Amino acid sequence: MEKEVRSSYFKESFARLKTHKLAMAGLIVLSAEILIVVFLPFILPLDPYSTDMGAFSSGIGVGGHILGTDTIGRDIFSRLVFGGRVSLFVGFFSTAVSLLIGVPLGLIAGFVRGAAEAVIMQITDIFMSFPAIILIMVAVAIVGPSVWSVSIIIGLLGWTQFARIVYSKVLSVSQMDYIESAKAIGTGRLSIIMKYILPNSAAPILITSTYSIANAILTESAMSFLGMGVQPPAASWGNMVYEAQSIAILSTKPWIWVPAGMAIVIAVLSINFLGDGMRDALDPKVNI
Amino acid sequence: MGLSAAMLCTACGGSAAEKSSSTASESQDKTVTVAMPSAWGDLFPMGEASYYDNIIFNQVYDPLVLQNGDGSFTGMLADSWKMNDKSDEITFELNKDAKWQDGEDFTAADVVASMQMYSDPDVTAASRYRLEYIDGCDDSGVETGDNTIAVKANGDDEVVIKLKQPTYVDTVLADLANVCIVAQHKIKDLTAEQINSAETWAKPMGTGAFVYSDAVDGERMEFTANKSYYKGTPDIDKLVVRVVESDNMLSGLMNGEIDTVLYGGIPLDDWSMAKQQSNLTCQSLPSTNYQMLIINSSKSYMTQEVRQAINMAIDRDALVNNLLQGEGETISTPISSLSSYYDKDAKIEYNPDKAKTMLEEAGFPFDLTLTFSVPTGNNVRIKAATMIAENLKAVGIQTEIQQADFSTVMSTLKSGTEDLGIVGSGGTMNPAESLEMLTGTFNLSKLPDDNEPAQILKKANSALTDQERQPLFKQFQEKMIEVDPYAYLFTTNSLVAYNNRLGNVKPENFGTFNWQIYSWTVK
Amino acid sequence: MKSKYFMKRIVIAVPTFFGITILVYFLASLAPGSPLDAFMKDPRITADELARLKISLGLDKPVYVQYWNWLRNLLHGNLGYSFSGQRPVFNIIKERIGATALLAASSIVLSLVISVPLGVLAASKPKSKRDYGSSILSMLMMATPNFFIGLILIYFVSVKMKLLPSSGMYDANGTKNVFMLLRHMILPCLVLSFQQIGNWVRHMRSGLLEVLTEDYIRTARAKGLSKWKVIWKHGFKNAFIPVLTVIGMSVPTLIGGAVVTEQLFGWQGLGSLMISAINARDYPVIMGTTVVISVIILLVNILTDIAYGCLDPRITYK
Repeated sequence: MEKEVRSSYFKESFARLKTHKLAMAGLIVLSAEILIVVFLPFILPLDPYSTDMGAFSSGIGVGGHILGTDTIGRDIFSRLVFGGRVSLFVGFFSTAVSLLIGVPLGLIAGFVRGAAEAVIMQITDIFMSFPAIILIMVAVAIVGPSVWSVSIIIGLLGWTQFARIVYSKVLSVSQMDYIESAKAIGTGRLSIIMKYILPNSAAPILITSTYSIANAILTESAMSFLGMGVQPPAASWGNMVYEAQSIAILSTKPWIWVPAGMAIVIAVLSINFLGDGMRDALDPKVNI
Repeated sequence: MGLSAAMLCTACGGSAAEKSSSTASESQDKTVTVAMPSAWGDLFPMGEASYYDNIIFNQVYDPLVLQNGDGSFTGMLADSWKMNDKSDEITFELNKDAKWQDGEDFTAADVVASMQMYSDPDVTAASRYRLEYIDGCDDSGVETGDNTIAVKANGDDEVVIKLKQPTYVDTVLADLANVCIVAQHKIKDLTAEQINSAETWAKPMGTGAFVYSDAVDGERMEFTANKSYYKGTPDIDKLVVRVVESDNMLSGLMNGEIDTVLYGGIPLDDWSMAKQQSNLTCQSLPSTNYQMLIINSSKSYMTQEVRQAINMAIDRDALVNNLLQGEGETISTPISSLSSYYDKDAKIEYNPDKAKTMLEEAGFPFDLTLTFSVPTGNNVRIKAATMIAENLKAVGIQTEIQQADFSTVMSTLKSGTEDLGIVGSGGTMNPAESLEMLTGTFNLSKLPDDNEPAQILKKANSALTDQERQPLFKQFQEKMIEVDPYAYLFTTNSLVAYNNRLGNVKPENFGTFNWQIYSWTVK
Repeated sequence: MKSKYFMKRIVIAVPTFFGITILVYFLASLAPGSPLDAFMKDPRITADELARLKISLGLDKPVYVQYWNWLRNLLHGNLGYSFSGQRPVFNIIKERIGATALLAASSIVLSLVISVPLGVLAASKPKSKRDYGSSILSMLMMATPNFFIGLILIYFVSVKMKLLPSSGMYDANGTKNVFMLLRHMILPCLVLSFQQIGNWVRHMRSGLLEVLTEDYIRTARAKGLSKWKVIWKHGFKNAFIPVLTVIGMSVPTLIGGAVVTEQLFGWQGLGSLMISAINARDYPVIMGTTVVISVIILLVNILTDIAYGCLDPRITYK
């Protein structure tokens, strides 16, 4: 009975989502981006690393470079695509890490209660009371900046919101009548989790995940912009904008930094549209 | 980081109007504003060696001598000096007119007190290695006993410094040029703890041409002229030292907010625009600053042949012409053309084909990817590293560049895990300044400490006359290009620009921290 | 008693504070490269001298001993001395905290001034063109990284139109006055607020919408009160509570944003201080700034709770 209710809930939500124009636009753009950054390098000969000795900081179209070259002669377009791989990877991977840590911790806090609950909640309080970016910068300085370290560390510092969602779901679901009766007939904790907790948490977790991905992309790009994230020669959208800190580059060579910045905006925007659409679709009473 | 607007809002008059009104209200005081790209640290005169601290010290304190850009010395608190026949004792005749800015007379006792303070082991003085040639103290410049440093006052106007062993006079003077003399009456009652406190030195008082008047930490320091300066009253009435991001230097110069840059110069990308400005005088001067490639010889495949091949594979001319836009010089050894010991025949040719053959003959493992540590913070160096990586790729050597901040790179290179690295050095006029990197803790080449170049260099350094030194340093340079512990790349020119209202500016001496601001004239 | 509630809040904040300091201290101490490496730039420093420097900086002791010493000093009000220059950390922070506070405060004010009217406008006519318009605009603002909008503004406003300065807090020639500070503050404040405004407009809108559908609002409308009067008199006051929460929660993000903004604009505040301290492995400064930031955030949380408690009579004291 519950299964049918649930599947029609998701079916209806998806139908609602489809009508949300902006969300669908976001979904399409995001999918297109993912497809481009993953597959385009296999189709076109893109080389983000080698320097074209004859073309430093050359403009659009010069020397066969679609978007020009940067100050060391590297092809901007290639770097944009490869940078997209990095930035999107960081976004998705770090959120996955956050989920992997946050969901179990939230479950533990909610089920085990007592000391575990107090400790876990205290830790989430600590993490939420401090600007994450500073902790991330310090942590990345420890292990050395790289795509992996940035992704894992952003993930390590972003699990608190998921833990809280799951924790409060566990608490609220535990008080429901049907849970009491399920427990009375001996249903184990695991199947309570699988049948009731997780499906009920799915909506807020999904929504929060999209915002988490967008946030991670913004955080990584800010850190790489400051020189504390992904390091050249590896390309990331953030470290491509780094060059613009020289006034000559900023004002006379926009092709070096503007494409990467725009790419960040487009990616984050499409993810946010999607997230909004999902929120409206999954939780219609909030939408007026 | 930070960018700056070239001009201010013209509609509201902007700061140009504010500036002229403020100088008018200061009754025609001649104010000069100079800039540096980074702030000073603590103002203890023998603390961590920092160019930016030196700028401050140069205005407020005087050493016995200062070094000029051509290697000669200008007497400051010392009018003249004489080395004895055995070359182990220098007698300095001190200037009789010098006075402390608080009115007290300067005497030889001040020199003695300063040296004793710097060599006191309880005093934290990171750059007291400047005293290492003086008898009575160890290699770090720390006294071997209580006040044993061999600096003696002969009356008020003469100081005798005894050396540990016969040493070439310029070598000692170059170090003494960095030892600021402080007032005995200021420090004599202080404990070591008080001396180590930043408060004691925050409002510096010396014998220098400019008197400290005000400071905003990290931003600016202001001085007024010392009217009774023993080298003549400065033409400038008020001196402001400003911290300005290097990206903003040019715009500051263009709109007259700053008159010149004392260290760091104009960024290369801005140089052509600087030269077009009608209110600026621009000079591109060779300097001793150089960049070098670190090669880790503790790795079994980094044999001498491989190192020679690496050196031959690098297109130094392309680096200077393309990357530096010609504002620099190639070097093959740590001694540059500024030095009188420069051997122009000690050059490494660019020959990638020969390099490739040599690598093949040496059995270099081409399937190996070498790690290449590159510090962040210097864009020119980062680009040089990229270009070098391409040069190496062209002869078959694969590299992987790993960027990290300077501290991390230094500890990595010291641990000897990386294959290659790239660092810069300020260089000095002392042809033996590279000894520290050929032997001892800073031997990043990981060659055995008794390697041949190091031995020759030690010998050359201990020779006492020019006739003896010349052939030895020539021998050193020849040995260097044979052994190739590192790949020396290029020196970067100092790109100096100053406002035309300044006169008698000698930028060729900026590199040796001898700005002589007291001798500048202002229109 | 309400005061008991607030005391409890303060007490709960204490372990959080210590947790943060421990976390940051041990993280920072694990970073490769020590502050001694700054001295590494100087190849002439002997091994003996390095050993001496290590002791004088207290780095020869194990990390937990260093932390304990640091904590003891802290409880005596001593934030220690910076490794690069031996200046008291307290002084360094004192000199720079005003800049960040100014930037943050003006950012909050600017964000409120812009987002409240926009949110109200959007909520007053839901699903209208202007509602969608404001929605898309705020999404766009949220999606733009602060450094990117900063660069764009600098390009157009400072370089092209030469209207406003783009770095530092005062001009280079020495005179310092409030007018100059304000001019220098406009761009950084705008940049810091940019994403936040987008965020707050949405919160304002949804908070207001939620309230506006409440029964007592419908009743007021039914009674004949004008729409605007209803919005401002009833809706707004109650919608402000979630807005207050959002303001409180935005302080960590604001400080995080200040880190980037201060670097970009050369603003001498705590954000740029933190970055240079991390790069220099200057633990005392890192820790001192951490302490100050945590205290500020925890204080703001407590203040928000107080305001919350005052505004909403439904708050019970658990």
